[in-house]
Amino acid sequence: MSKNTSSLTQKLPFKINQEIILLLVLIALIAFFALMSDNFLTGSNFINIIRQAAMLGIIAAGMTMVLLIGGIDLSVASNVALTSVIAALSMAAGIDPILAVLIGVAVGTTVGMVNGLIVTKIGIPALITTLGMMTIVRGAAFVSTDGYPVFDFPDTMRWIGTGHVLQIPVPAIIMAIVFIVVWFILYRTKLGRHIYALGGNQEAAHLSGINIFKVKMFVYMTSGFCSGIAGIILLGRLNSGQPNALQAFELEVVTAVVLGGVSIFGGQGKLLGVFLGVLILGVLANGLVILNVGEFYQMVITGLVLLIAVGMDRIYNKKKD
Amino acid sequence: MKRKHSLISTTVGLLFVAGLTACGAEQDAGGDPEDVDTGGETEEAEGETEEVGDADADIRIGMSVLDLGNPFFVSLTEDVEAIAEEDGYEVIINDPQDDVNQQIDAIQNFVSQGVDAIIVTATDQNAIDDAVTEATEADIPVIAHTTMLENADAWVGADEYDMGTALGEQAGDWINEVHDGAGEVGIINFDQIEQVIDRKEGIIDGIKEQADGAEVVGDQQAGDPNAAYEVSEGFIQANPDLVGIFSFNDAGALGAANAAEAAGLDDEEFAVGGIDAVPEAIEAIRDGGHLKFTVDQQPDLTAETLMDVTNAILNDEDYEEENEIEVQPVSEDNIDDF
Repeated sequence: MSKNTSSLTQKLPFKINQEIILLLVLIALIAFFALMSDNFLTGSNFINIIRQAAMLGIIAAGMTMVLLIGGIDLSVASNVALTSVIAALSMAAGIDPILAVLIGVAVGTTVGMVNGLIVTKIGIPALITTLGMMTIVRGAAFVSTDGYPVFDFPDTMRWIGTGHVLQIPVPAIIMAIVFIVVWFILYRTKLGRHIYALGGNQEAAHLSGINIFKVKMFVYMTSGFCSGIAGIILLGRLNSGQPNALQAFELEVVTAVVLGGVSIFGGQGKLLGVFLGVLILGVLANGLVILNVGEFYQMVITGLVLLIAVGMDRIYNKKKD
Repeated sequence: MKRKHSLISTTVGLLFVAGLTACGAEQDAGGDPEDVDTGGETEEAEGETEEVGDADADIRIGMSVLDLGNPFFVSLTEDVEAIAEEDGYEVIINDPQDDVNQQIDAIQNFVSQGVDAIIVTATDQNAIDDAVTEATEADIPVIAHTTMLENADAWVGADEYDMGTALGEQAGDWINEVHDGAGEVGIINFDQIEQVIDRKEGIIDGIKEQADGAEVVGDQQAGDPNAAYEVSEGFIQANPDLVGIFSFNDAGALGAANAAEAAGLDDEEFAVGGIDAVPEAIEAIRDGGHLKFTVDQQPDLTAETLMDVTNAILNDEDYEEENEIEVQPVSEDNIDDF
C-alpha cells in the first residue's frame, strides 16, 4: 500500500486509510439525513439504529473471520432462522428459557461445525459447502415447524431483543461484547495472527507449522455461534420463531464486511472497518425509511454507497489484490 | 496421495449434491427466494415438488402456489392435500418461491407429466400466460386461484382489493372512534408482487373512506416480520403523531406490533392491522394489545371450493367459472369465532 501511495495522500498529515474513508462516508450520510429530517438526529433514533444494526453486526463479526481466512459463509441467515425456531420450539415445549437459549446457540454452532468439517475434511470449497448448507438449514427450519411460525410461549426472551440496560439496548450491548471478543482474538492472540496468515497464503501458513484444520474449524464454528446469538436476538424482537426470517440477509452481511474493507480473497481488512460498514448500512436503512424513500430506490442507493466507499479506497490506496 | 484425495472429494461432492436434490424433492416447504434451484433444470418436476397421496392414483392434480414461506399457502396446500387424500387423488405441490420463472417451469413440467388438472396462484398473470395456454391446449383444465387468468377454465379466490378494504375499513372506524377521524398512518406494502399492490390500495381507500382526516405518511416494503419491525421503527421515529400501522399481511403486522410495543406506545391510542388471519395474529388479537385487526381469506373454504370446481370439471359437471371467496374482517368483536 505504501509504495503506491498517490501524491494526493502524501501531502496530507495522515494516511487516508480505509477506516477514515468509511468514517467520512458515515458522517456525510448522518449529516445528509439530519438536514433532510428533524427526526433523524435524536437520541431515540440513535438507539433505533444501533438496535437494528446489532444482528447485522454480530453476524458480520463472525463473517469477518471467515473472509479473512479466504472463506465465505452463506449459511448464516438460514442459521439465524433455524436457531430462533429451535429455541422457540424448546420454550414452547416448556423448557427453561436459559436452557432454550443454550440449545439455540448450540444448534447455530453445530451448523458452523458441519460447515468447517465439510470444508476441511471433504474439501468442498466454502462457497459450495455453505451454499448447500444454506438450503439445508433453511429447509430444516421449515421442516421443524411445518412451515408455520412458532409462538405461544412466555415472553421472557423479549428482554434480549427489546430491553435496555442504562438506556442502551441489550442487542447493542451483545454486539459490543462480540466485537470486543473478536477484536481481542484477531489482534491480541496467536490464533488471530494465524487467521490473517492463513488468508494471506495458505501454503506458507502450513509450512510455518500452523494447524490449518484447527484454525478453520474455529472460524466456521465462531461464525455459526454468532448466527446462534443473532437468532436469539431475533426471537426476542419478534417473540416468535420465524422459519422464513432474514431471507437473503447473508448478502447484506457480506456487503457490510466488504464495505468495511475486508478482501474477499482473505488476509486483508480490519475489524474496525467492518464495524463502520455495519453502521453505514444501519444509518442508510434507517434514514431512507425515515425519508420514506421507496424500497426499489433503497436497493439502488445501498448498492451505490457500497461501490462508492470501496471505490474511493481503490482510488486513494491503489490496493493490489 | 493428492490424487486420491481429490477423487474422494469429487465423489463425496457429487453425493452431497445428489443429497441436496433429494432434499429439495422432499422439502419444498423451504420458501427462500434465494434458494439455489437444485432441481428445476431437470425435465421432471422432481427438484421442487412434492407428491402427496396415492402414488397409483388415477387422478393427479398439479398445484403451484406463490410461496410456502407464507403460512396462508401452507394452510391452503394442507387443506387441498387433505381433501385430495379423501378423494383418492394425488396432488403434486410446487413452491416457486414467488419466482415467475420457476412457476413457468413447474406448469410445463405438469403438462409433460400429463396431470389431469392444474391449480395455479399466478406469480405474474401475463408472464405465465403461455404456459397456461400450453396446458389448456393439452386439454388439461387450469383453475386459477386469487389472480384471474384469461385462459384458465375457472377462478377461485378472494378479491385482493376487497381484502384491503376489509382491513382499511376496520382501521378507519377505529381512527374515527379513538382519534376523531384524523391521524397519521404508516403502510407496509409488498409492491414487488402485482396483485398485492391492489390489496394495498384497498387498505388505503378503506381507511380514507371511513376516516377522511387520515393521512398516509409512510409506505414501505417489508417481506417478513423482522423487516417490518425495522420499517415500523422508522415510521414511529419519523412521525411522532403516528396512530397506526397497517400491513398487507399478518407477518408485517406482527413485526409492527412488536416495534410499537418496544417503542412503548399506548395500545389504546395506537393500532396495528394485517391480512391473512394466521394463527399467531389471531392469538395476538385475542390477547389484546397493539395488533387489533386482520382479515380472514378462509383457506379451508378456498381449498374446498378449488377441489369442488376441479372435480366438477373432471367429471364434466356444471360449475361456476368465477367463485369468489368472501373475506371476513377479524377483530376482538368476533375473535371468539376463531
